[in-house]
Formats: sequence, structure tokens, C-alpha cells
Amino acid sequence: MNAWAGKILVVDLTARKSICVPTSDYSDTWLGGKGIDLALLLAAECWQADPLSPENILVFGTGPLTGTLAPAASRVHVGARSPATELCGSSNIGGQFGPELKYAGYDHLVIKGAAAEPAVLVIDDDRVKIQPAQELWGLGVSKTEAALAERYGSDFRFFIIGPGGENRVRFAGIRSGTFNSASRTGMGAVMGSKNLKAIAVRGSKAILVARPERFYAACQRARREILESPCYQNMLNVPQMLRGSTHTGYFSYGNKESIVTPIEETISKAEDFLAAHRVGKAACFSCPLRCQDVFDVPGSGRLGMQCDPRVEFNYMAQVDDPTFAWRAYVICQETGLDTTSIANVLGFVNESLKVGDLSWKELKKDLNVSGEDRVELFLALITAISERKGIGDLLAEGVARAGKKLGPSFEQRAMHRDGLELAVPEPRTHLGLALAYSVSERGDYLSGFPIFEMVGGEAGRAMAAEAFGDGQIANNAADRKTLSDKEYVQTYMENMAATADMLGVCRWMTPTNGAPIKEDTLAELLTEAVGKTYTGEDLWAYADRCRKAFFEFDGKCRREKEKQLLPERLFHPVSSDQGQVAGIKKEELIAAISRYKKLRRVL
Amino acid sequence: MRRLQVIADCCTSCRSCEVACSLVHSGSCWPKEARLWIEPKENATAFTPRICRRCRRPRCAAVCPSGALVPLPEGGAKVDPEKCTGCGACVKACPFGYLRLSPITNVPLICDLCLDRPEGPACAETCGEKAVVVKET
Repeated sequence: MNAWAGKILVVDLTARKSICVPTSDYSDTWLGGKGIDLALLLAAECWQADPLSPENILVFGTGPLTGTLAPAASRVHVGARSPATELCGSSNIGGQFGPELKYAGYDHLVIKGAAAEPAVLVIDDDRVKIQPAQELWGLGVSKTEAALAERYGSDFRFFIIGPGGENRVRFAGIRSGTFNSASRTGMGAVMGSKNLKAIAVRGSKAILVARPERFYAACQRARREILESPCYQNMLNVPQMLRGSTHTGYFSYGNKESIVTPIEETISKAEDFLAAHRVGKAACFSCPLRCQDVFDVPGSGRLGMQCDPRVEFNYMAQVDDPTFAWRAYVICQETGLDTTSIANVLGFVNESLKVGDLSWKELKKDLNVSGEDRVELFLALITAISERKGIGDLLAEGVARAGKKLGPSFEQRAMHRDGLELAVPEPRTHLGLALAYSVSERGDYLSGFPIFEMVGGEAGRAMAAEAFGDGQIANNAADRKTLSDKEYVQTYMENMAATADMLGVCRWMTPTNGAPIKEDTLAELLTEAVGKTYTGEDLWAYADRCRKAFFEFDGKCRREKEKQLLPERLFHPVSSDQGQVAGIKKEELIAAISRYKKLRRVL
Repeated sequence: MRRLQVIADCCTSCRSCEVACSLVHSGSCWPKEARLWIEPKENATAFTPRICRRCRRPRCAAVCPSGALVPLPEGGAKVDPEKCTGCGACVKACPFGYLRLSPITNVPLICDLCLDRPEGPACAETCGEKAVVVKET
């Protein structure tokens, strides 16, 4: 089988058995990656399962381009019924694991049941074993990885959960190496509920491609396109890139309390931090974008960081200190927690302290922290959440559940959609984000990232015109203050992201990140790899099917549950650097959601 | 004389060079069959490409008991897979540790600078960070 490895490995941890299923049973209809993962989740009917029970399944999906020379061909989609949203969980991770899984001979990995004791799943080509991991339980991610490399060899690649996943924190992620994480929607908690501390994989097989010379040439053309794009240069200075977007109120401050951001000061400090501590760049498998930074910070040694989560910690927790953000990030890395959810939780706690609903004194006592330093309190809180100690146990349930339990005043300040904590980008100033947060498949904005309005102005309009042609849609797409036509942006970005996620390449090299690789280029790469003609329109049809599968899964999960709109706070005015900003108009958002569903044909 | 120069500080460990090498030599994406590889260091935050140095007097060829590795006038050596017995003496003899055997055929995977490609070595063509570059001396 060209491009695909050919097999889906299904491991039943309860029965301690594994079987293989041909990928070709699914690939014609679902292509691969996220598409086949969704098909497997639907087939398993795990919408009925408690997300943290053995009845839930955990799926990992590479795509037909993963492990090849196609640019950014590193990705693995991770899916399960989410313990955070109780809808379809979906996360994505790069690094080296995905290609290695394919070299071992598997496109997808399905984990069923639960191990009786802490276990590690070892996949060494055709040899699949479930081995004890009692001595690793409780260890942080880096220590676990070092122990596994010692036990199995440094040529294995690992997926690991930290104490956060072990303790079933509902927003725990799965980590791989120092750079990579499948953070959102609690996939680490699902892995922890299965008593699976880690997955180790090593492969020695080839991925065949149908037309090697033409595939090689197509890969080189795509790579050159990336290297010549502004996006490639921007990766060298993320703070500078952020500066370009913050003057429009792109980031909220605190717990969506205001949009008054200390932009210059925070970004200058972030740049100083980069200059002082960044010692190199790194990349996922086969990726020319090299979006990862290597840092050497006293006290934490050499570590990697991707997608710069520091702004989340600085803004949402309202602690304007890059060292705090770094330390918070390192704790999340070690304990395996999602930085976005944690930053949101800190914002929730910070606001509750400010208005007096939480007591400083009691919180300090609960966390065993002395002194008045908010930094130390917040860092202790992150650790307590990972260990589910004291108030950490409640907050490990996420702000939605914690708010409900603590009472109405807490509940109204829980910034989430369907149980997934909102991120720092601000939907009141960027109305495309309001639609993205509202309708996206997993509750955040990333699957429909409205980059045209983020860039804005003539540059944003020119980017939008490439997608929609010159006209009113492109004009509206670049206008952050309107919801008109944003359903087209949402659908376009979702399709682009889903295409990348199904092929097993990174969506960051596509227009979802302002990068140049579009569906036609991806179709050409797939065509040469598989030896069968695919067009951009074909990929769009697969993407549409994939999105509809999310609707189907979520529809079965919800049953009686009413679909949640955004938190009420976002529909009210808010102060910003440019004065008062109106809240999102509810009736306009509802109308935009309707137009989106009509466009998706899911009404 | 043409050789490959490594600038390790520029390497991001994307391993595109490995896949490109395997693709042009074996027709598939197969890093285990590549003639170079990236070695991670320091918690996998620093990386060094390992590539044949194409020695003027290659020890790998000098120790080959079957005469399968033949020194080339411009440096390095060429392997004759028919003569190779897969004994691995060449791997042990390489003073830099930059040679390995194919896990499938046991024939040494020795760099040939992609001499049959007009575009030159695939690894250097693929490396966007110029961690592997062609150098004429």
C-alpha cells in the first residue's frame, strides 16, 4: 500500500491482546488521520461511555503523508470522548512519534479497555507488548522519558502522561519529548484512566511512495514555497509577531475581564527573555518551519517550547513577568497539563480572589504557601491541580464544573464553551473568533482560526481574496468588527485544518497560520505518494465529511444537553485600550451560527 | 574536491535530510536506509548530523576483507553490494562512527554524494537551515 503503512493496531488493555485491521477498510472513505479516527470513534459507539471509563476508546491517527518527505509530515491526531467537554475530544501532536509509528507498520493505534496495573505499551515493529510501569507512576514527564529510554533504548519514541493524566485532571494532555504535546480536551486523562503511563514505539520499515521522483520534486517545490514565505521568518520572533496583532485588542486581559493590555511592556520583556535564554531552534519531523525554541534557563536546564504559551500565563493570570510564565510552563510540561486551560483556571482564581469570593488566607493555607507573593501561590496551585490536592482537586475538574459546584457567582465567571476553557484571544474585538469559539468542533477557536481579520487591513483582505476571490466576502473576512460572511471563513479554515489533520501534516504550513501551502499543493503531494489522482476539491469533500462526523458524534453525546453559547460576560461591553468595546450581539451571533450550519448543510 | 559540510548549530532535527537521502537512494521514505542521520544530544535539544567525511584514505575500505569497499580518488569509498558480506568491519573501523549497515541488506550505507543527481546531494538540497551544505575544496 503506497503512502499508508497499511494496518490499524487495536490493543485491548483489559484482555491484554492486540489485533490488526487493514487501513484500506477506512482510507477510501475517511482518508486518514483525524478522518479515520472519527470513523473509529463512531464505530466504537463510545459516545455512550463515561469518558474516564474503560468503555471509552483512545485513538491515535497518522495520515498518508506522515513520515514522508512532505513538509511538516509529523502529525498524529488523538481522539476519544473528551472528559472536559463530554463531546468528541480532539487533539494533535507533532514531533517524532507519528513517523516512527508508521515505520513500525501502523497508521492508527486504538486503545481499548484499561490495564489492571500501571502499564507501558511497547510497539517494536510487529512485536506488541504490555509491560508493567508501576515504578514510573507518579514520575514527571522528563524523568519518565529518561527511564523509558534507559529501559528500551534511545531510538524508541514515546507518548507519556505526567501526574496530571494519572490523576485524571480533565484537561491533562499527552507529551512527547520536550517540545510536543497533545494538550487540549483531556486526552491525557483518558490515557491515565486506562492506567497507561506511556507508549513506546520503534519501527524499521519503509513508507512506499508511488512515484518517488515526482513525489520528491513536489516536496521540494512545497518546501521552497514555505522557505520563501514571510511566515518562515516570523517564526524567529514570536513576540514581534504578537506585537503586530495586539494593538487591535486581540488578547483579553485577566479572566476576559478587560482588553486593557500592557502590550509594549509585556512583549518587550518577552523579547528580553528570548534574547537572554533562547539558545536554538528545533523542528518536528520533516518540518522546515522550525517553530520550536530551545531555552536554557537557570534552574530548569535546556528545554523546548512550542507555540509560545507564555502570553497566556502573563495575560490571563495578570502576572506581567516572563519568568513566572516560564516556570508555569515548565510545571505544566512536567505534570502534563494543558497550558491554555491552566492559564484560564489561574484567571478564574485570580478574579475570584480580587472580588473576595476566594480568600487569600484560606488559599495560602490550602496550598501551604507563606508570604504574599501571587507568583508562588499560582505555581503551587498548578502543582496541586496536577496532584488533585486540596482546592486543586476541584479545579482539576475545569472551570465549568468547579464554577457549578462553588455557586452562581463562580459559575458566571467560568470562561468556557461546553466545558473547555477559553483561550486568551478575544472574541469581542474579533467577531470571527466569536463564531469560531461558538461552532468549532472541540470548543476552542483553532480549527477555524480567522487569520484574515487578525491580520486585517489590505494585507488581510489580500489573503482572504486568495481564498474567496475579490469581493464582499474577502472584505468582510478581513474586517474583525463584523460577523457578516464569517461563516465562509469558518468553513474554509475548518476544511483547511481538517485536510492537514487527515493527511498527517501540520496545519501551520497552511493558510490557517498565514502560510502558503493550500489544498491543491496537498492534493499534488498525495497524488504522487499514492499514485492516484486527488484534487483540492476531493480533499475538501473529505474535510466536509470529517466535520460532519464531529456533528454526528456530538449530536449523540448531547442528547438532552442544550448547546452552549459563549459565556454571558462576552455579550456585555468591556473596557479596552481604545475605550469601551461593545459586547458580542447575541442575536447576530445566533444568526451567524445558523448561516454556518446552513453552509455546512447540518441544519 | 566536493564534500558535505555540517554546521551542527543550524540543525533543527527535522530529519528531512534522512528522508530525502532514503527517497533518492531506495525510492521510499525510510530513514533507517539513509546514509546520514541526526544524533540528538542534551535532552534532545541539540542535534548533530552524522555524515560520511569522505576521508582521503578511508579506513572503512582499508579494512574491508572482501574488497567490497573501494577507495575513490576524490575521497570516500564506493561499495559493491555483490561483494559485501555484511561483516561490519567497516563500521568498526570508521574513526568518526559515521558509518552504519542497512538493517535489511547489511551492506554499509556509505554516502555517494548523490553523484548521479544533477542537483547534487539530496540532503543539502532539502536542508532549509543550511546545516548540511556542499563544499568544494
